[in-house]
Formats: sequence, structure tokens, C-alpha cells
Amino acid sequence: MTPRDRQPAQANGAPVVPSVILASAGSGKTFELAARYVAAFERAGRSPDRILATTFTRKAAGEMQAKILARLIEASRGENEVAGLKGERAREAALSLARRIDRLRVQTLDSYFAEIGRVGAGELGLSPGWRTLDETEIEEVQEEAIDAVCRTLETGTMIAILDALNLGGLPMKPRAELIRRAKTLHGAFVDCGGDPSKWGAIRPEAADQLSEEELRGLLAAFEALPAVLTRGGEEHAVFESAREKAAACAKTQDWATFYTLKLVQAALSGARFSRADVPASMADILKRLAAHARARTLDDLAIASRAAGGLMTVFDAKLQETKQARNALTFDDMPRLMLSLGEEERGWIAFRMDGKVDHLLLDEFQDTSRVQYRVLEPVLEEIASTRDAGRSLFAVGDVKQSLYGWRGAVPELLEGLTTRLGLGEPETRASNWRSSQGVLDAVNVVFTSIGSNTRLDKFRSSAQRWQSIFAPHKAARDLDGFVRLEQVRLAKKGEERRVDLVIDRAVERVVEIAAENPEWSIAVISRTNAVIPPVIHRLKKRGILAAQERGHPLMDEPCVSAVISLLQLAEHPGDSASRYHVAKSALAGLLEMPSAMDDRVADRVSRELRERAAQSGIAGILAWVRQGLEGKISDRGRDRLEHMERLARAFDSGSQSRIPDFIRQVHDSAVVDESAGRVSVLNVHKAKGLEWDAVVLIDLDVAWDGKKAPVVVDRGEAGEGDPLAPVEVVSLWPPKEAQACDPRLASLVDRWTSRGIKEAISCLYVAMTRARRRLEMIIGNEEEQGKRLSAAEVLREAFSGVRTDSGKPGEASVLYSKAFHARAAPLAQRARPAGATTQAAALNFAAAAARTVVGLAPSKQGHRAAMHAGALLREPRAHESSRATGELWHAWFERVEWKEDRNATDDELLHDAARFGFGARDLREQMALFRGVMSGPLGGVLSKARYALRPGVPRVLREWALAWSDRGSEQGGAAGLVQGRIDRVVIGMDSGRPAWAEVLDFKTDRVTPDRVGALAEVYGPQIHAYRSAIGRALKLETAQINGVLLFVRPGVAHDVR
Amino acid sequence: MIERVFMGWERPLIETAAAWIAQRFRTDDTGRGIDFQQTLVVVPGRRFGRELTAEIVGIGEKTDSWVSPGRVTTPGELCGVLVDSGTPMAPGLLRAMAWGEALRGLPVQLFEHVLRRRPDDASAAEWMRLGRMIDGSVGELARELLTPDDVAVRAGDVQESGESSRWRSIDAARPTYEQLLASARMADGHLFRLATIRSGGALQTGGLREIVLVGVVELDQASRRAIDRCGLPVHSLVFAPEAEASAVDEFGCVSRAPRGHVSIDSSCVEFAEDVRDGAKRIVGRIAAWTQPAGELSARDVTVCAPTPALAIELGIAATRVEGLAFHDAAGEKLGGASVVKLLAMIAEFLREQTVEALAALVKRPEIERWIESAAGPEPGWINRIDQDAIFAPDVPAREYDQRDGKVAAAVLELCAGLVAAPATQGTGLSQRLDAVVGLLDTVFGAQELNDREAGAIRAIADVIEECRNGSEWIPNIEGWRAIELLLEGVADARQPDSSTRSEVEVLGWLEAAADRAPYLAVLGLNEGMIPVGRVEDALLPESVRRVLGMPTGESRAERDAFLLEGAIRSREKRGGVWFVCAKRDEDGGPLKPSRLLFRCDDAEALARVERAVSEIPEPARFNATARTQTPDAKAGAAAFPLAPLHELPPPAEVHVTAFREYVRSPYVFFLKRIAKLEELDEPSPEADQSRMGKVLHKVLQGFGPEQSRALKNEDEIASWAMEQLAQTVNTLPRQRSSAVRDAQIEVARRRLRMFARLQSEHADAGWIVHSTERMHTEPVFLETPEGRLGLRGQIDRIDVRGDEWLVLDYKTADKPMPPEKTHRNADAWIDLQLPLYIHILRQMEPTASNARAGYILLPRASAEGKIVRGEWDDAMIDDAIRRAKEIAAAMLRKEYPLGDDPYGSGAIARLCGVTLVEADSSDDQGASEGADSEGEDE
Repeated sequence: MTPRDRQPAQANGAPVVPSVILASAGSGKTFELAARYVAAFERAGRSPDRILATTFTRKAAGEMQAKILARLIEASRGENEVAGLKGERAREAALSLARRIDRLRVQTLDSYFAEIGRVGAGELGLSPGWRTLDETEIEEVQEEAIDAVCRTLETGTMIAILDALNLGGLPMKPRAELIRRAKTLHGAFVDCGGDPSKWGAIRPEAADQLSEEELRGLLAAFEALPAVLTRGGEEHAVFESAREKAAACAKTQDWATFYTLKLVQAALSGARFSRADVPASMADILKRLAAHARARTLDDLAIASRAAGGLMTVFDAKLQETKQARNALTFDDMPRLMLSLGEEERGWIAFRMDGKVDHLLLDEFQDTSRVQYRVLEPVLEEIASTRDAGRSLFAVGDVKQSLYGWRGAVPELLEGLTTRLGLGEPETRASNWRSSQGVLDAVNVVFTSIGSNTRLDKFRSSAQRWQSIFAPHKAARDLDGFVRLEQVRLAKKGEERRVDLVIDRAVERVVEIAAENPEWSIAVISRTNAVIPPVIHRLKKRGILAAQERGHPLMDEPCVSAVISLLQLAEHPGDSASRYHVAKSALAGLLEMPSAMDDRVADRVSRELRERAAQSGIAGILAWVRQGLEGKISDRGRDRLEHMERLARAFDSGSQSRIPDFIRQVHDSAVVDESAGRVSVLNVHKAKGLEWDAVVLIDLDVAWDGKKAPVVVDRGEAGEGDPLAPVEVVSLWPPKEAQACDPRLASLVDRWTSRGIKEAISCLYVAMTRARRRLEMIIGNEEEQGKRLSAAEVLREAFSGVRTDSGKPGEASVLYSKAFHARAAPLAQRARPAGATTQAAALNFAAAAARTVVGLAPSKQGHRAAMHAGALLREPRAHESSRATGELWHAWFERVEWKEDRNATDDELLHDAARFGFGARDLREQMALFRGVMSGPLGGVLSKARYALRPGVPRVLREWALAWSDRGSEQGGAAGLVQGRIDRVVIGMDSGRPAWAEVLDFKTDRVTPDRVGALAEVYGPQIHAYRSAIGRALKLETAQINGVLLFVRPGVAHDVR
Repeated sequence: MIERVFMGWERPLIETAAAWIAQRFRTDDTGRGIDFQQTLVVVPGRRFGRELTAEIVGIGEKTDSWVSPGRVTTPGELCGVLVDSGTPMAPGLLRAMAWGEALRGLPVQLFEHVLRRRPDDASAAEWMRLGRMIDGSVGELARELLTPDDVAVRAGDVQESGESSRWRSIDAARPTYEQLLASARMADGHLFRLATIRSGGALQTGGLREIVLVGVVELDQASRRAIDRCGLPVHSLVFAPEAEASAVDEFGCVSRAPRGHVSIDSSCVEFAEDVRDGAKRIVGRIAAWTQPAGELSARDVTVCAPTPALAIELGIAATRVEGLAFHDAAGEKLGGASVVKLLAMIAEFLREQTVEALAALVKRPEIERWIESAAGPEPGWINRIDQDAIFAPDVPAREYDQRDGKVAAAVLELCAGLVAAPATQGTGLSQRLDAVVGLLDTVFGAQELNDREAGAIRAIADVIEECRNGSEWIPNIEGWRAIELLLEGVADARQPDSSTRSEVEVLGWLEAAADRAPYLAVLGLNEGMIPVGRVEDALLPESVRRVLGMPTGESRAERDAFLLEGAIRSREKRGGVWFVCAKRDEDGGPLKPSRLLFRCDDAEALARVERAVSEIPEPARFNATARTQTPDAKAGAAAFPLAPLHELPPPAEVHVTAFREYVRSPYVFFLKRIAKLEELDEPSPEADQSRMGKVLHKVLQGFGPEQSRALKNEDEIASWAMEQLAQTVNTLPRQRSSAVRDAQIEVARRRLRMFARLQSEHADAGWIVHSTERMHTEPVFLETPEGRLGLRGQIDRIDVRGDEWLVLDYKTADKPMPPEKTHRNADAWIDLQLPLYIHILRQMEPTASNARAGYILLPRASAEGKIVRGEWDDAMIDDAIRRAKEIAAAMLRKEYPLGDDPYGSGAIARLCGVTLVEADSSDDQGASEGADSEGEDE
């Protein structure tokens, strides 16, 4: 059976009814989703806009989109069947979908919500042009919001908050502390609906607390108690020491410690202490003090939690204001906003989305957050309850692969979905289409017994719960497989870096696998990011270029690092370290920087760089640097600089301009290494949803327990079965003393810890199930681990006693090794189609005129327009009225063919003036002036009599538009199309041919007669351009064409020679 | 009556249309000429219009004819040309402002139907943004002969769509809007045309005699009605053969009936992994077209980039190829212009008015130049202000009284017209705009500007003028808000620039489709690009458009299909078209192939689907990137060496704290102590730990022998310390938030109370202060085989009890570590400060041979405050001194390897390669030894 043959149960032709599928890793989830989509597509009358399919990442959305089409293509060839379609029907469906691909909606929930935000901006209260913030900006916004909080708070309030939050004392940097708190607590604040009253609600009974007087009295009585004696009648030293300690704690008000003292606990439980009974009188006092201690400890925690809630209230408000000022949102804001909509408004938005969703397909449902679920809930319930044949719901996910609790994912939503929607039991998929049975055997070894793994004894119920959802995996196809668990000796502390040896072994394994199987894809999967760079580095040293899933840090190339120093130097001329860095690199030559130590040179360079940034942006600097470094940087460096330039272009065109903001962005950026090959190095979260022929697991020694959360959230009894139950209490993480004081707190902590353990088990499951054929797990040796709970410990325990192939001599560290031989021959590798374009590194274009046709105005010819800021800034205003006046006069002059003809009436002049917006008074003035000009000497220039002595018949062309070409400069300047509208041309027609011409141009400048000559110099080139054009048009020599400038205000006609 | 003239696909439309016009308007009236001056020529875009006119001029030159060109316009402006005669129309910015103001005046209950959240009343920019959206939609409606009220009525037919109330609210704001424009003696062009056309009055055609539509594929209802009503003869030159007559309507525009077939040749389509890969493929295709060299010129090729992001990718891909450059015809966004950035910086300065904002502003070259000419500051002033801003960013600019205080005074004077509070008389928008103009005028002075900058300033000036028309509506506004309004006005503006001969034009889709270059490469044959995709509009989304009969994504797709067909067919015999369809966008998001790709026969469509979803055969690679990495990597390492050294003399004297640095990383020691390099951080709104530490040290320094003898009681000591602190904090720089500053002072108070307790207990134990801040008067040396190295150190405090000596160092970090932890790791010395203090003390005080040393820990947690000694006997101290001598010898030998733990926060970290994942010390280091920056276990 080939992958094309595989058919998850009931996928094809299954009725499209609401259903939930719990699909284990490799069980063909995407494959089945594609089938479900096709089924829904058919049911929806091949109308894709009635179907919404969502998944968790954009990459997965792209893959699902491709998978849907690919399955239809396969089916159309008759190779396979999808949703009951095969051959011609599949072909029709494929064509129908492709031709309506614009309506295909396979996307992430975030992008779907963003789409709603765009069409429903009004209802959601979003200002036009809103956008989503990137990661760097989110941090900036949070910091800005905290700064606003700091400006709002009174000093006393701030100190009170900080005091409450920091039981260990006030920090030296309060702002930094508030930012840290805000980042970690805000999610819980949103989760509790922004209700600060939920914070710190676990409170002691007020009656338990003692008054100062009572306390003093009890303490005095406690200290006055007779000493406890041993059986031998001597003072019981241990007892007395404990008593002193208790008294000291009480005096220093260290109630949290007091409550957890063994003596106090013995008094409370009635047990003996140090083999002696606690005297009744002492026990009585201790019980009363313990009650006080308990109350005070819980009270401190409640006060701290309330302070945190109060802080979050102010912070949240400031955060929203800050985002509003930037007109921007985070992805998390959108569902929150949508929840604030009423039913009616939601209906309006549905209308605006142009299509009701009848079929909903939800992938990776275990990663859905509460707020996302709440937004989807009405549609889910509607579809589930109607059981309308024309509507369907399909949710798929795997609780075992729930890794995103820290990001708000609630896998319990998937577990309880069928119950919540009143559907039948969820279906399960355990057949594995991905991995060899050899790999799956190892998976089964670990997880079929995870509930009884002794390393997980402390978390028995969590492990058992996890095991209960695991069914042994069975391979659905025959593949050879190999699995090995080996441990390397970790060095002792201080001897060498402990992780290095594991990494070295992992690299060895990758090199081996790559050599043995040149076509295989290989991944090294870690739990944390920290080990990824060294793995990549060491692989490179062994000749293997590995890819990082989300790309490598942009900063990991020496030339980028030096260019950052260059930008820093531009911003801070006094940053002598940056100056030194630049001066010691190839950039020094580019910047003409002979010395690394000269302050004056640094000042000059800094200034030049700022000038360059102002002229051509940061992108301009980077382009200049990149060109200047040609031949001095590696290809990889060049790739990096190009990417940096790409960022800079976007940055330059945005609202920001400060170099530090750009540097920050570069620090946060990653770039995919284009030269990377078939080996990937990534963390387990990034690995989810992906698969490789061989997988090497490292970083398995990371501790699973002992982690603290910023807060714990209690949803009360209802929350036991309902993950959507409202939050009852939010408390800061309770220290162990507080946990001892209240079982509810202890239980919340247990719940959180259990959840963390489950997620850790899921991480191991996801990591192991990525492998198709070969799985290598490398752990540190037992002695060095100190028995901390970790994946390594769990694996060691799971594989102990499991039958294993004999390891090679000298490989005593191999704890498990097993090869699995498939019955069938391995699948042939898919042939890669040829046809890549290898591209030339140089082009040689033929010479030609420049492409753009530039419009050139004759009026601008010969002299550049004002190019000083002041003139340019005042130009529109200065010319506003003169431009209108000019246009008005031109319109009036256009009426005049010959002065001797009929004069325009006032009505006609007024009609012409209507569009220029003159007030009545202004207009009267202009009309009077015009009449004056016409009756004065200038009017004579418009007279037919002016040409009486010239040969031929004069003919007038008014507002004559002409166009001609300007070839541009040889150096590559723009070719020009010159267009001009000549006010008045008088042509002498002799024997039907032009014999001479005169060009007249009206000027309405406010100029005195003595300045006319100077102004005529300015306008001269324009008139010459007209003469030249008319000469060409009428086949006249330029000398046969007069040019006259008519300055109407001083009433002067000026001949242009 | 409209005459449709089918121009065929044999030649580019520009050529055939130019020939048609030249022929039709040929005249011999005044010599031989082509005279269509009284013709309105409607073209798809301005660029097309220029090229068409140029082509006609070319024909004129060939036929020895003059050319009197017609009035060229675009479909969007056509209605205005025919209807607007004689009325001044408000420009877009003014309309946006007027709508914003009109909406601002709406009663709350009405406004909420438009937008649930009311913009900030103080933000004119935010209201303008809203106004711009409303203006766009109302204008679009008017072009389809609809009013807001019409939408309200028609939307009412759609049950529960919610549109009715929204559009009724907008309609309610309309009278105010029109009054506002009228007060500026202007009208809204769209609404005016709508009213004119609806009123049925005659249109003024201003001397026009004919209309020629050239390749116009889309016309709104208002234009159609205006054409009908103007009574002029109309010729529509359709870019298609007559066989396509059914694909176009009576105006020659594309009909909405779906076009079943688009003639894309599969062999001319490539699928790319993402747009970056796609850009490389486009470049590769251009390379293929230019072989053999010299047959094609850059103007024979046009590239289509439907989005600005694609144009950026193309620009970067082109840098890989010698001889290729692209010219983005869309021009540069004005937002990137220097003057715009300057205005943004001025707004920030006005808003904050701190030294930090001042430092940022004066680093703008325009301001820097102006200050140097106007205020004549001393050399190095920028650096000084910059460092002051880092040290004390929040000091108000007007209180900046350091050496360059006159710079701040000059800048404040420059901005005076923008600084005054809005309530002050004469601080309306008009005055603010005057102040902006004055400020820019002053800054730039008589300086000659290049074309680019002049263009940007001209555009700003235009925006200022447009805003000025509506300035009366905003009687009070803060200076920075006024600039914010201006910046909003230029947000989308672009500044065109001209191309050179060797640049290949990059055009948007509509222009590229009508372009005449024989070779066309299209990047982004994807949904949302070609065709443009669904309209996701907050006011007029696809569903509402459908109800109103307006153009939708569907109808635009038919337009694009028609254009695509023409673009392909017209190049069949004289060039070619190449398409790249990308799978992912620039951010990695999935892209869909264009639906037009599947408008072919079924078998071909299925084959294309398969190609679209299968793997990309191989990434597009340049020869350059295909080269092996190793030699290049080495070249890169030489050009950017790790841990480069500089020849400097060995130290004669070092501070005792420098030994810790040397142990950690000799190279960092070299940079900081020998080369004396400094790395600067960005300003922080709160004082950092070291600055607060200095404050505490300053107070504690004062606790000397006299105080030690006089003050024994905890309360007395605390009282003394509080008094000292009060004096010291007055010297602290101002912080933006007084709460943060006061909280930091409270921290100091608590640490000092802790000190009082510890000091009291210490005194009870018999210790008294012998001296504080003690420095050796005679030089102290470490003798080594390489010579001797001087030691420098100032001991915080020396206490005595009888013949016992105790060296104490105050530690005030939140969680300071005890001496044992700071000085030793496993069996090795990692710091030598305290042993060296003992060494120095022994030199100064011969009786102090039994001296010991420790810390006074004043941490965050009160209970953890204590005086703790380093538990080292004489032998260990001797061992420490021996180690110090070894290190001193290495310093004198100028041994500066990178060491085990290089560090730094900025350039020092970069010099050490801390940021480099792949820094290979053994290859790159050269002379420096022992470096190992790989495998940091974070």
C-alpha cells in the first residue's frame, strides 16, 4: 500500500455530520481534513465560501490548502478516492474548486478574526487603517503602557504595590519590575474578564488574626513556659532550640516560616516533636499563634494578589490607550473585542463577511484558547444543534499533542467538545501512516506504561490520565525502522560544558545518518532554543548546513554585526566601542576611517552617516555598504545584508525613523538560510506537525518539575469539569508556606504542576513521533542528573528491562537499540522534477532611451523653479491667488481674437470668473483692470493693425496646445515629452503657407515697470521653447518668429530676443 | 452614440491608438498637423496618457507634422471634466478634514452607528483618518450615483444588516460636511456631480468636440451618464479584436459576464516557493530574455509587481545581477522623505520636551546644520548632548543647563510657535501651520535643495495648504497634534522619480497590463493580486456592494481577465509574457494561485493545479549563491575579524576590579581598560542599578571615623543616613515619572535603614571605622618577571577592632553575592578585588598584616542584609596575590585572548562575536588564543 492508497476510516463518502476526531500523531489528520473538506464542498453545492477551515499556523493552512487540491487531483486520475469522488466527478470538483479558489477559506483563526476586523471595524470600534503589532512593537507598547502607569500612580501607591508584590523587598529598578510583572500577569487578567475583584480572593478569616496586644501577651506567655525536659530530666536542647526559633519568627513577624516550623505543625496535629510530647499549654499557645500565622501568610498573599490585580487594571487601561494611539492591535485583542459584540452586531458582521459559514472544519483543536472558543461557540452550537444536512462541523485534534498551554491553549476543550455540543463519542485514529513500526514500538514502550513509570510517581494521576488517552500505535505501512536510546557521560560540574557531549554525539549521529542515507531528511529536535545554535555550528563544522525552522538570527553573521556598530556610531558618536568595531572591519575603507582611536574622525563619520540616513534612509546606507563590500563578504553575509536592507526599506517607509528602533528590529529578526540543506534543527514546538526520515532527540535532560507560574487560577468546583467555567480566584503563585496554610492553594498548585507534567509528556510524545524511519534519543548519564524528573529519566525507566538488540562492543552506553525490518521494500524516493532556473549573474542590455516618458513643462524650462525650502513652502500660498488671477486673465484674453472685434460683455466675463471663486469685490477690481489693459497700450498688441505691414493674412490661434519631444541627455537622463499651451500665436499666412509668426504670452506677475526686464530674463527660455516648437510645426526659421511677453499689471509688452 | 473601434491584439494599444488618433485628427489647416486639441482623450492612467501623447508626437515627427494634443484624462476624472465646469472643488485632504469635523459634531447616539469607539477628541489626525474613510466611500457611492441615504434605504431591504443605521448617521453628518466646505468656498466634487447629473441639467463641455476612450475597461455610472448627457461624439478604442465584441459593453468597457478562457501558456508560468524566490525567478527570466546580449534594451522589458512588497523584493533580487536595475514607477512613499521624518521628530520633541527628545532631534542633519550656524556650539556638542540624554533622559529640555544649554534654548526658540499651550490665544491650526512653515524655512534657510528633497517639501507645502483651508474648523490644537495631522495627510502620498536608460520599469498591474514593452514579466499571478480579490472594506464590503450593484471583486476579476488576455495576445508575435505564481507571501503566509490561471481547458487546468500544489523543483539560485561557501566564509572572516586587536602599550597601572574582567575575558579587559572603549546604551526612563548604587555609596562614604564614634544606635545612624540621602538625591536627574524616582529613593532609604541596623550591630561587636574611600599615597605594585604593574584602588571602608583590620566593600545590588561566590569558582580565583585591597592595605598600614576583607551586603530583602567576610586565611590570600601577579604578567605581555566568557551589552559583545552563532574562534582568531564563543549554554 502506498500513501496514495491510504484511507482513514470512514473518511470517504462519510456523511457530513458534526463530528470530533481525536487523531494521534501520524494518523493522517491533514489527509482526513482534506477529505472532509471535499465532502463539505460537495454538500455545499461546490460553493467554497460556505466552508471555513481553520488551523493553527499559516504554514499548516498553506499545506492544508495544497492537500485538498492534491487529493482531488489524485482522485481525478482514478488513483484514489476522496469523499466518494473518483474519476470524472473528482475532476469536476477539482476544476470547480480551482476556478473558485478565491473563495477557498483555509486559514488560521487569527487571520480569520483579522478579516472580521477589517470588515467589521465600525462594530468593533477599530479606527480605519488599524494594523496588527509585530513582536518588537508589542514589547514597546507594553513598556509605554507601564510608563503611563508610572506617570499615573502616586508614589505611595506605587510603593504599596511594589511592596505587596515583592515580599522579598523593594527592587532597585521598580519600572523594570513592573514591566516584568505586567508581561507575566496580563494574560490571567484577560482570562478573568478584567475583573480585579477576582484577584487574591482566597482570604483568611479575619477572626483568626490576633491583635497586637494579644500577640504580645501570647509571646510573653510562650517564652515564660517552663523548659521541656528529656526523660533524664535535662533540658531538651532540640525542643528548646525549636522553641527559640518559633519565638524569633514570631517576633520578626516571619509568619510564613513560623507556620511551617515542625514544632508548630506538631502542635497543630497533636504529634510528638523530637520524641517528646508538646506540652498542652505550649500547644495551645502555638495553635493560636499558628492560626494568626496562617491568617497573616494568606493575607500577605491576598494583598499581593490584589495589588497585582489593581496594577493590571491600570495597566490594561493604559495598554489599550497606547494601542489606540498607534491604531494597532495584537492578535489576542481581536477575539476579545469580538466577544464584546452583541448578537445583533455579530449578525451584521456575518452579513458583511459576505457568506454564512455552513461547514466548519477546525484543525488542531487542542490548541484552541478559551477566548477563541467563546467566539466560535455560537456557530458551533448552531451547527451542532440544527443537525441540518446542509451544515457540518468537523473538529480534529489530539490532546496528546497539546504543547501550548503556556500560550492559552486549553486541550480540555477538545476532550469535552462532544459532550458540550451534544454529539456522540469522539472517534479516534491510531493507525499511523508516518512511522515505521520500529519507531512506533518505542513510542508504545514509553507511553503504554507512562502511568506506571516510577519516575512519575509524584505525578501518578497526571501520568495515568495521559496514558488513558493513549492507544498503542500501529503502523499502517511497512517501513524499515531503527530506534536507539543512548546515554553519554556528562562531565562533572566545572569540568566541561555538560550539554556539549550530548550535542557532540547528536552531531555524530546526524553525520552518520546523512552519509548512509543521502536522500533522507533529518531533524535534531530539542526542548529549548538554547542548544540550537551550537548544534547548527557543529554540524557546519562537519560540512552539513542545517536549517532552523524559523530562520537563523539575522545577527549571527560578522558583517551584520559590524553594520550594526556602524549604525550605532551614526546614532551615538561617542560609542567608541562601535567606532573601534567599524574601524577594524572592512567598513573602515568604505568610510575612509584610517584610525580606530581618533575622536574627530568618529565625529565626521557619524555625521556623514546621519546625513546619508536623512538623504536615502537606513536602506540607503545599507545598499551603499553592501555595494562597497562586494567581494569582501561571504554569500551568506550578503544574504543577511540583503535581508537587513529589506527590513530597512519597510522601516524607512513607516512612521519610525530612529536608528535604535531599527537596531532593535534587527536584533529580533530571523532569516531563513537559503543555502541550508535537508537537516533541520528546531525545538519540539516548531517540530509539531512536521516529519522527517530520521530524528535525533536531544535536550532530554531538561527538568520537568519545579517550575512556577506567575499566577494560579481557580475556576471553583465548576471548573473541575468545565474549562469554560468563570474564574473565581486569581492568586499570585503561592509560596510553599502559603500552600501549607490553605489546601485550596496547594490544590491549585498541584493542578498547575500536573498540567505542566502532562504537557511535558506531550512534548516527548510529539518529539518521538516525528520520525518516519529512525529515531535516536541521546541522554546524559544517570549519576550526573541528580535524579531530577526529566524526559531522560522517564525514558531510562521506560526502556529498562525492555529487550534490546545487542549493542556493538564498546557501546555500553546504549540503553535500547532495535532495528525493525519491513516486509515490503522501502518506497522509492519521489523523483524530483527537473527544471530549476539557474540564473546569470550579469545582464547586458542594449542601449536605449530611458523608459519613462517624463512630462516637461516649457514654463519650467531654462530656469529651475525655486528650490529653497522657504520659497517652496510659501509657493502654494503665494501663488494661490495669483494662479487664480492668471487663469482668469487667460480666460478673458482667450475671448479676444482681435481688439477691434466686439468686446466681451460683463456677463460673459463674470461667467468666465465663476469657477475661480473670487469674491464680488475682487472680481470688480479685476474686471476694471482688464478693461483698462484692453483700452491701454497693451491692448494695441492684440490689435490686427499691429500686423498691417507684414506680408500675408494674420491668423490668430488662442491657447494653442503643442507637444514635442525632448531627447534627454546622453548620460541617461529622462526622455521628455514637452507639452505647452501657448496663450496666443499670430501666424502670417501667405499663399496658404505660414510666412511668419508671433508668440504672445500673458504674465500676471505683480511687477513694477523697472523690474520687467529682469523678469523677462526668467521667462525668456519658455518663449524660446515655444518659438522653437512653432518653428518646427510651421516649418519656419526661429528668426521668423517673434516672441512677446505681455506683462498685464504694469501694462508693458516686452519683446524677447 | 458611442462608436466602438476594435484595435486588435496584433500591436500594443498605445501604438494602434496613436495611429488611429493621428489619422483621425490629421489637418493641413496651418501646415501639416495632428490637431486634437478639442478632444477629450480618456486613458487608463496618467503614465499611459504621457506615452500615448509621446507616441503621437513620434508619428508627427515621422510625418513631418505638428501635434496639438488633446486634453488627456483618466476614467476617474472624466466625470469631473464634463460636469465640474466653473466650480472650485475641495481637494481630498480638505474633504477628509471636513468629514472628520462633521462626524465629530454628531450626537453620540448617531456616531456610535458609524464607529463604536469615539476617536480621541484632541487628535485631529484620528478624526481626519476617519473622515478619509467616509470620504472615500461616499465618493465611491456618488460615482455610482448613490448617496448615503440611498444605501440606508436599500440596505434596509437586507434584513438585519445593520447598514441602514450606519448610513443614516453618515447622511446626518452630510449637511454639516457640506456647510464646512461651503465656508471654505468649495464643494465636494463627487456630490456636486451627483446632484448635477440627477438634476438633469445640461453639461458644459468647455469647447470640447469629441471624446476618445482609449483602452478604458471600467467606467462608473456617473461618467457613463455624463458621457450620455454631454452629447459629444464618443469613440471607444477597445484593446481587442472585433471577435471580442461580446466581451465589452456599449462603452467598450469589460462586461461582467465571466470570461471562460485566458490564453496563459503553461510553459510561461513558474511556481515559486515564496515571493523572494519569485523575484529571483523574474530576474532569471529577464536574464534569459537578454541572451544573446545586446538584442534587448531595458525599455523592451516591463515587470509587473502588483504590491509594493513585491517591488521591494524585485529591487533586492536585482542587486544580484550586474547590469540590472529596476525603477519602481509608483515612486517613493513620501513617508520616507527626509522632511517628513524631520517633522515626526519635531512632533516627538514637542510632545516629550525632554533632553532625550532633544538629543534625537538635534541629530537630524538639518537641525544639526542649523544649530551650528545659529547657536555656534563648541565642537563635540552632539556627543555631549547625546551622552547627557543617556545619563538623564527625562530632564525637561528647558531645564537643560549643561555645557551646551544654548543648543536647547535655540531649539526651543525655533519651536516657540508650536510649544505654546493650545488654550493660548492664537494657537489654532492656522497659527500652528504658520509656525511649521516658519520652522522649516528657518532650518533649511537658503540652502539649495536637490530634486528629491524639493519634491518632498513641495508635497508637504501642498498638504499644509490643503489643511489651511480647513484650519478655521480647528481653533485650538497642540503643536505636535498639528504636525501629526500633517503627517496623516502625507501618509499615503508618493513622490515619483524618473528612470534612467538602463532601468527596467516596475509597474502595478493595471499599468503593466496596458504597457507596450514587448516583454512582460509578472510576479504574483496570485489571488488578491491578479485579480485584486474580494473587497474587505469596513463601509462597503463585498456584500453591500452586491446589494448596491457596485463593482465587486468578481467584476474586477473579469476586468483583469480581459486585461490579461490583451497583455498576452499582444505579445504573441513580438515578445513574451512570463508569470510567476508564489506559494507564500513576504511574511510566510500562504498565497493562492490566481483563479485566472485555471481559465483554460480542463486538462490544462488540472495540470496547473497539480503544479501549483506539488513541490517546487529546485529553488531559484544565482550562480553566485551556488558557489561553495568555504572560501567566501574565510574572506568574510578576514574582512570582519573576531576580537581584533590594536597596538597599544601595556598598562602601567590597573584598577583592582580589572582583574575580574581579565579572568573572565582578557579581550574585554583590553577593550575596556587598555583601549578604554565605551559602549553606550539607549536612554532608560529609570536610573539603573549602578547609578542608584553610586547614590548609596555617596551617602555611605560619609560614614567615617567620626560618625562611627558618635553614632552607635540604629535610629541615630538611620537618622544621619536619611539626612545625607536627602542632600544627595537633590543631585539626581529628573525622571519622567516622579513615582519611579521616588520609589527608587525609597529603595535607597530602606537600604540605608538596613545599613543602620548592620552598622549598629557591627559597632556593638567593637568595630570602628578607621577610614573611608582610602587611597594609597605611595604607589603599590605587583612585581612580575615581565616587570611591575601598578595597582589602583579606593577602599570603601577600613574598620579596626583592637589590632584587627577589616576591609569592607559596600554591595547594594538587589541580590548581591557573598565574597566567596564572587571571588572563587571551584578551586580558582575569578575575582581578586578583596585580596588586592588587603595587599594594598598591608602596604599602607604595616600593622595590618592580619587584615581580612568582606562585604557589607545591602540587598533587596531586609533579612538578608549582613556583613560577610571572605573566609580566606593568609595562605589563600598569598595564593590570590600570586594569581594576581600571573595575571599582571600576562597583561604586561599584552596577552588578550577572547577568554571563556566574553560579554558586553553592545559593540563589545559584537567585537567578541557573542552574537555570532557560528563564530569559529580557531579559524578567525589569529593571534588571539583560547577563544571559545561557540556553544554558549544559555
